[in-house]
Amino acid sequence: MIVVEGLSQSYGKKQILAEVNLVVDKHERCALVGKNGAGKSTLIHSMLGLLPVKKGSVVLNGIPVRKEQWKPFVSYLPEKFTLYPLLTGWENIEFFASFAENGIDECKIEKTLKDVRLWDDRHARVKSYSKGMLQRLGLAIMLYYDSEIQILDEPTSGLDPIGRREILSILQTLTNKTILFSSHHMEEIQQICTHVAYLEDGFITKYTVEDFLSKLEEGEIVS
Amino acid sequence: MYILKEWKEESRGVGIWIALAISCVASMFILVQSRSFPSEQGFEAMLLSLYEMNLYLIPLLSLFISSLSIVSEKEQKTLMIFLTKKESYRSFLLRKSIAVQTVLIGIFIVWNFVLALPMKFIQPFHLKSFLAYLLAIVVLLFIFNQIGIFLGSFCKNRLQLTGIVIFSWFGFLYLLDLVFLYLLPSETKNTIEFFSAFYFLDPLHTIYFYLENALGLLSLDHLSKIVQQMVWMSPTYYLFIILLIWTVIPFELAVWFNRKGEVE
Repeated sequence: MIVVEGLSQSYGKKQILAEVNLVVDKHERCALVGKNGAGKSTLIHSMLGLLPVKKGSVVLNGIPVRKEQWKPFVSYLPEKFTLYPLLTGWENIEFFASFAENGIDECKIEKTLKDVRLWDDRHARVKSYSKGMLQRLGLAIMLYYDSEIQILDEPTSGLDPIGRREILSILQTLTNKTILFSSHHMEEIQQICTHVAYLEDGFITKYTVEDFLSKLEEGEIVS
Repeated sequence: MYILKEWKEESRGVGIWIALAISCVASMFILVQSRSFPSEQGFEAMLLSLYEMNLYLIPLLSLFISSLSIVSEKEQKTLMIFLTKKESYRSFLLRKSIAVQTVLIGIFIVWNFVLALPMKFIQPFHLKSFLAYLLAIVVLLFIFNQIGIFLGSFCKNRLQLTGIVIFSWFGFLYLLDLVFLYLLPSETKNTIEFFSAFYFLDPLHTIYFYLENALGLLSLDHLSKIVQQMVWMSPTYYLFIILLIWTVIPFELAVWFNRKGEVE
């Protein structure tokens, strides 16, 4: 589903990713873990073609990322997004729905907003939303796209425990999807993921969640 | 969808309405002042005065509003969502340009038609002159919106953008003229056509030249030989050529810069 081979990235002379190899299988839920500044966002941006890939290759759903045909199969929710604060929740999701393969489907928008419990707030401007509501609206856009591969960059960052629980409960409803999401929180990784890709010093090592937690307890890994 | 979204964002923000309010107040002063103009060509002189006022205002407002609309897409991370769905940066920029141009030009066209009502009571109304004035305003808006979109693509945040926009505005309004004034004394009959090509690349020179001529306030029949050499095309041709140049070059540069760097 997601295959990264020999991916290297650097900013100036500083190497961020060094020959990264990663495979995320179909319907696998993989957490991307690493310290702040380890290069998680750089890896995600390179995988999605947002950063030019000079060395290495990325294949999404069997399609090299250099080509555009992978886009219908992938959805991405960036970190610290704000969407359009002056538009309402409905107007935001309606606009993003126009980028979906099947265009705007009002019934599907209604269902999606109900799934993330924003139906009653659909006519409020997004600038009045709490951080948790904004994250749920972002997830609603991803749910609307209903893509095979879902990539989320720290979807619970900055949320209080209740907000985090709400996001996790939505993520748990995503069955039959390949999910890669970056996170710092072990408890949510335990709840959601089957595997962990640990990024350190530009290299990635992949573990099962159980192996990762035991190595973390033994102090072999510092997250 | 882009045009509707852009309209909703602009109309619910304060930027465009502040711009329009400034233009409204300044225009009213000019209309009141132009009551004393003689009836012969008084309407045209009034339109030229209005244009001269807009010459200061529109480039600054266009640069700010259009560039901010691009930087906002980056800051809000909406651009990243587009680029991982159907859009390439080129298709995004094309749709965004169409939306920004439609909304800003639409608002200013409506405003100028509203302004035409009091004009009728001040001076005898000449439709042809009014349409030439409107074309000059539209071209001015179009070019500076497009430059703003390029600057927005180039800059990574609002702080960087503010500096570059003010510098660009100052450059177009004053610095370029200083350069031309410095070069002018050394021009000869042999080099004047080359000089003219650069002189008329400046949209502020070309649009003003077109408007003066279209309003009948500048005749091309009694020019000195050296100026005749400099003006080797109809002002309307000059206008459409710079419109084409200032549309294509900033757009392609914006796409090129994006290809070289990251989308953040």
